[in-house]
Amino acid sequence: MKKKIEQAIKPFGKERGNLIPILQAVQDNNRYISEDAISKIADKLKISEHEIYGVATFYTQFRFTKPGDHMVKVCLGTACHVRGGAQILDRTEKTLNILPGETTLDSAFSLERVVCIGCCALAPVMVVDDKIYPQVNSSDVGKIIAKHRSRHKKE
Amino acid sequence: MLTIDGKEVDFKEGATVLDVAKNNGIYIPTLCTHSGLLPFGACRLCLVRIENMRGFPPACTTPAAKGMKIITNDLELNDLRKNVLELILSEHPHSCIICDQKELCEKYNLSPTKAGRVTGCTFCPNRDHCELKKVAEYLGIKEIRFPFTYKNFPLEREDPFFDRDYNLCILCGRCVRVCQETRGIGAISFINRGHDTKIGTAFGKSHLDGGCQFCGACVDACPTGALSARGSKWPGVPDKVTTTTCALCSVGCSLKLETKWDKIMAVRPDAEGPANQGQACVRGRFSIPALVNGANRLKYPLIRQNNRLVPVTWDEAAELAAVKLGKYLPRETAFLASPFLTNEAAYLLQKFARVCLCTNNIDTASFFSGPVIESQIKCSGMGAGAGTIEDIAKSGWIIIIGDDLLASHPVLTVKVNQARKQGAAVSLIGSERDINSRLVDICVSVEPSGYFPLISGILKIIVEKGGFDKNFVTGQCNDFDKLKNSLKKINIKTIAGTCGIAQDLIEKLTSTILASGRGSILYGPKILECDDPGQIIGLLFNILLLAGSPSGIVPLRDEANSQGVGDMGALPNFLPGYQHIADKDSLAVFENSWSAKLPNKPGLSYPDILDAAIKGSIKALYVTGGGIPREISLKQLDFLALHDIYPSPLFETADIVFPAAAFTEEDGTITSLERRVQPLYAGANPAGMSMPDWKIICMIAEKMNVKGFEFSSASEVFDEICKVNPLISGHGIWDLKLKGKFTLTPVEKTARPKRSILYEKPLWHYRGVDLTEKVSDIKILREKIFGGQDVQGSP
Repeated sequence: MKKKIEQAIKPFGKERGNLIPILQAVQDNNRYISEDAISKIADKLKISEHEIYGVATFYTQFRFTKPGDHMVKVCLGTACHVRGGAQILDRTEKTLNILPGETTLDSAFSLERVVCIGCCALAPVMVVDDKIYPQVNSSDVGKIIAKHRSRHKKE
Repeated sequence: MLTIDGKEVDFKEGATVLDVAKNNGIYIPTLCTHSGLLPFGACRLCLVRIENMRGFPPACTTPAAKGMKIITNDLELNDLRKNVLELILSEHPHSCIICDQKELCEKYNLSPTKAGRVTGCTFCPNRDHCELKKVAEYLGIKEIRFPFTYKNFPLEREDPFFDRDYNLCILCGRCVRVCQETRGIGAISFINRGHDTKIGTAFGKSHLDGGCQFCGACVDACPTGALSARGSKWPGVPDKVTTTTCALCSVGCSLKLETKWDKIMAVRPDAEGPANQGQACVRGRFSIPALVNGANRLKYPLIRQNNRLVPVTWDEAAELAAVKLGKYLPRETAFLASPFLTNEAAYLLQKFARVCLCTNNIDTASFFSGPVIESQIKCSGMGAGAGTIEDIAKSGWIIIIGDDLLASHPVLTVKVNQARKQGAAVSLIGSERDINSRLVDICVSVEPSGYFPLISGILKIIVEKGGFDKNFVTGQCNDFDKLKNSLKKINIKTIAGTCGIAQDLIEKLTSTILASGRGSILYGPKILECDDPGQIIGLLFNILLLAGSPSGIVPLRDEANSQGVGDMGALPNFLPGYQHIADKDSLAVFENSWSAKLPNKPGLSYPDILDAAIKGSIKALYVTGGGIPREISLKQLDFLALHDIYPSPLFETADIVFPAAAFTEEDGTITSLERRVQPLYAGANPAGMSMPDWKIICMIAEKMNVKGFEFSSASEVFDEICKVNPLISGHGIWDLKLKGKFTLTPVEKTARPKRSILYEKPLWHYRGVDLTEKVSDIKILREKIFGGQDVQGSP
């Protein structure tokens, strides 16, 4: 993991302006921004870790806890909301036994509530990793999760 | 030229509208601006009206421009500001600000009630300094029309020195900015965004874990009671405020002592202080009340009777000291001047030793004094550094060698940080702490044994590349050829090998010096661990002379007045003003003005006095606070007299103990590391019957029937000093005037008798009193920073 962070930081210069691109690169490589990563960035740019953390928490795109191996996103945008997205989210929460923003104990799944992913014609939509599940109903949720869980075990 | 409220005024290029208003005596309310910080525009209270500008621009971030027509106050602006402040107050407990019984309440409820959680009224520790209240009164706010939201943050009280209650925070960002911009630490930051914004640390760490140095700059900058010094927040309005100089290190910060019931209750930095400009450090800001108000301060003179120290009157004690001291031969007596003494006390002590006891066995009890002063005199003819604290901020390059600046002289890091922001390259030679590495550009991690080869290498590169002022070096510096020849043998590659560092690191460091002539060298006590510290100083002077004017070299003395005590002649071989004891003419001058015959042979130095006291060839020793390493036993002595503020381990052997006043309890002067002579003013009366050191010496001299010690105040002593000591007259700060002759030091291994014992002393102390013992929070901090390792070796 340390190597991953160093790899992500390496290509950038030491200018302060590189902070956000570096944070993005670290999150791309390591999936979240750890304490370790922030202190490495601090050493490189000579900015205090607190300042970096302050910048990073300003943007919702950055995560500070290790996410699960699979990211489950349930859309509650206007179209999905109208077509019952809330029930899908509710069922997902119960199936995974976590709330949005949390990760399951076995760190297999993280759940996120999103607001429109740009395919309203397919509402209500649920996304696991990069796979989009269109027109989901409550009874599909269990199957979708189970499918990914079995794949997760094989991996 | 611009017009402000109908008045035509001039302004300086780069001034903001707020600056122009301030300079012309016009008040614009503001909560987020603070002296020394860049404009931020957070509070939106300074909105003004400017002709031909859309909306209401904030005065603090709008640059003044030619022909501007500014209106700083009218009904609409006042309404707008009222609205803004009401919004701020809707998230800040405000019953104390808008209550109509406020005046009566403040008159009769003098001291704030101790309460954990501030909800308004008399519970706020910042009640007497509340800036919100002042602005609300100015705007005439009588009610808050918005519903009140209490943020319900937990109180943060786990860290030492100050408490944090972010329910009172208005997010002006002064604390964050002072920590980042001024101090260069960045221990706090804005966390999250929008409504969830809060001042905090990365991952919610404690300040102790997050690298906070507890300098208190954030507490001083806070306009509310969100940050409050724990030890001193409850006494309320002080009875008096005294501006004095801090005597806990040699930077010479100006401090305001707040006294109540004749006790120092709180200390704040003085915004007008020439050395610190409103900054302080953990020692000056937070530790003084606990240090000087300790319950076991010495209150009476003590003498040994039946193997016990018993309290007596001053008369008895002085009489006994006079009788006992008179019994010994000059060579059997010795004096140790504490480097924390005032100039007045140090001057009188050496006069006492030389006139009354006819001995030159007097030295400053600091290992950083003797060899340092000798080398300084050899290089530049002066027992001092060169250059001022202000010069550090203007440097193009800075080398810090042999000191942990952030721990020893935190206020100087403010200046280093200022220079760095203007593009200076800062190099650190010595062992590094993590936090330091972010404050400097080049870190060269070498042990003191590597200083000599490293500096030789730097000199070689400078001389080889010819990056120096040839006219100056050949015209005004002696021994340039000697230096050049001695550098021939040196090989950079071998040096890099011996120091265990990369060769290009030496080249990189040297290139910073060559790139910009003007710089500063700060050297600290770690150089004493080198084989020959005097020579290291000589070599550092070489760099300075080669780099040319107006560079500076500043000795990072630990003790507040080791400079002044040396200037005053508390040295075995020098009279006041570094006039050598063997020089007949200057001796005659002093014999004349003191009307006494003076000894003309140099006396024993500090380490020699210690050795002689252990061996027994010194029989009577007079110690004025600290300076005796713990592992030394003085049982061989016949007679030991002490000036102390607290009981010390030496009490077992002492024959007389005089209780001395602390620096907050006496008038006088001390001389900082930049040779600025600054005043001390008493903030409280001396504890118990204790007395300033100079008075004690006068009293004993009087009992010995010696003339020349009849002084009624410290200022009378100072007048005499000015008459005899050419250095102090005029109070000028000496800077390196490149007019005189200088001597370059050749790079040669010198043989020096190595001292076998490595004495240890506490890193933060006052007259031998370890701050970690007296101030419990300092102990917590020191253990965190240095992991329990709390001493520093000196050879």
